[in-house]
Amino acid sequence: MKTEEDYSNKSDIELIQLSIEDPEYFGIVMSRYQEKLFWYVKRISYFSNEDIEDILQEVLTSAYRNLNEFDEETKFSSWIYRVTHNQVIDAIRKSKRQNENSYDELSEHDTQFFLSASVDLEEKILSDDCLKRARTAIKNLPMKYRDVMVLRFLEEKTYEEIMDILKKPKGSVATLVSRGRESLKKELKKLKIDCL
Amino acid sequence: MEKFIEKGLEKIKKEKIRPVAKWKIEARNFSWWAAFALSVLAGGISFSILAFLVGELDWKIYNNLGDSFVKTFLIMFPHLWFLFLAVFMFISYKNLRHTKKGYHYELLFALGIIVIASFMLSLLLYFSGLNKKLNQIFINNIPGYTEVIHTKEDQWSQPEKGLLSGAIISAEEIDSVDILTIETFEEENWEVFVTKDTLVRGAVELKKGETIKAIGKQKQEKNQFEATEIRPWEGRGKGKAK
Repeated sequence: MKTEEDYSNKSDIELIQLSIEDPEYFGIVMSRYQEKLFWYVKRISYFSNEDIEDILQEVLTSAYRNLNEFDEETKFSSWIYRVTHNQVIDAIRKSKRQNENSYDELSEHDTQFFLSASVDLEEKILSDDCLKRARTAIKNLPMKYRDVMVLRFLEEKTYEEIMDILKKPKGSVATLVSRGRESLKKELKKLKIDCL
Repeated sequence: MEKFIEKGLEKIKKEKIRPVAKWKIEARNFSWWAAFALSVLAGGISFSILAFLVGELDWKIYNNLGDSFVKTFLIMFPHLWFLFLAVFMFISYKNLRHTKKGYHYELLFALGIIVIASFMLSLLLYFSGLNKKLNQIFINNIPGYTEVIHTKEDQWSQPEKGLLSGAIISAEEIDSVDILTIETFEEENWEVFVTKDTLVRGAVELKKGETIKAIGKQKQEKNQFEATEIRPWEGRGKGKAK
């Protein structure tokens, strides 16, 4: 199997061009994004690690099948995030397990980042109880808001990148981010979370 | 985590998965553009026929009918074509969004493009007279079409409301009263009485073959109509007493 170390001097685009004939090269490109994609899926879906592995395997085969759809004018990272996003949506449709899983998986760092995007955090370090309740508020956010907020504040994507990932116009992305913030504020208020 | 890559590559090799050919992807993208063009064209046709039907109607006769303009507008407006226009614009927007870079367009910008494109096409159809021909094709070939649109002929075929029209088939004068026999669009013969008090618009010639519009009231006798005003079929004509 070809490894990333052997081809570290090659760009994503070069490797993708080679992938058309030999899928091993695609494996190298995917290895560059595997961790990011894993956390992206985890953050928006809360699937178990095993389920995420299955989703990412589907992402790899689906992306390879549609490799010629990749437009070099778009960043490869945006394209592969889009394929991943679509696979997650499919997986969520097939299973409602995301709501049954534990939300402890959302790290303290992620939770604080998520919250700081919407509210002013007075305390730098949140208590365990406060974090737990805040995670519930984030969990209750509709998927469309959670997705866009994860991309913006945790994955630190630009509006242009989010536009390419979600296939929505830039204005709609900005609206979703803004509404997501408002929605989180309302959720925190509804759950009477005053520990922030 | 590497496992999914290994497993995925294994699956690709085992199932001999190959990237979908570029030409198929290009063809799919082209088909969305083609669908977009067709739906814009359909929107343009809807727009042009709507404009034709609106332009054909006499919007100022609501006074004669004793109705308000709003009521007349709501009754006579070609709702069917307006609905088609809205549907085709929506389909055009959806088709545009499915093209390769379609998601870049904001809703209002995309709708603006579609409205302008439909409008330009409708102007082309309007000035070439194709919209009139298309409307006639629908009248001739689509059963029930005339039931859902209102035409100028419908407007001027309401003798009970004081509006009558048709082609003059004979004209005679008895005791200073012109009696015109007309054949209406419903292929009925009516006698229209034109007295010295009747306003006959200048562009009208009361002779055989002329199509006229008459405002007045239905007489007690069957198929007799006393005209207070006679207008040419096309336009309103200039004022001139008989």
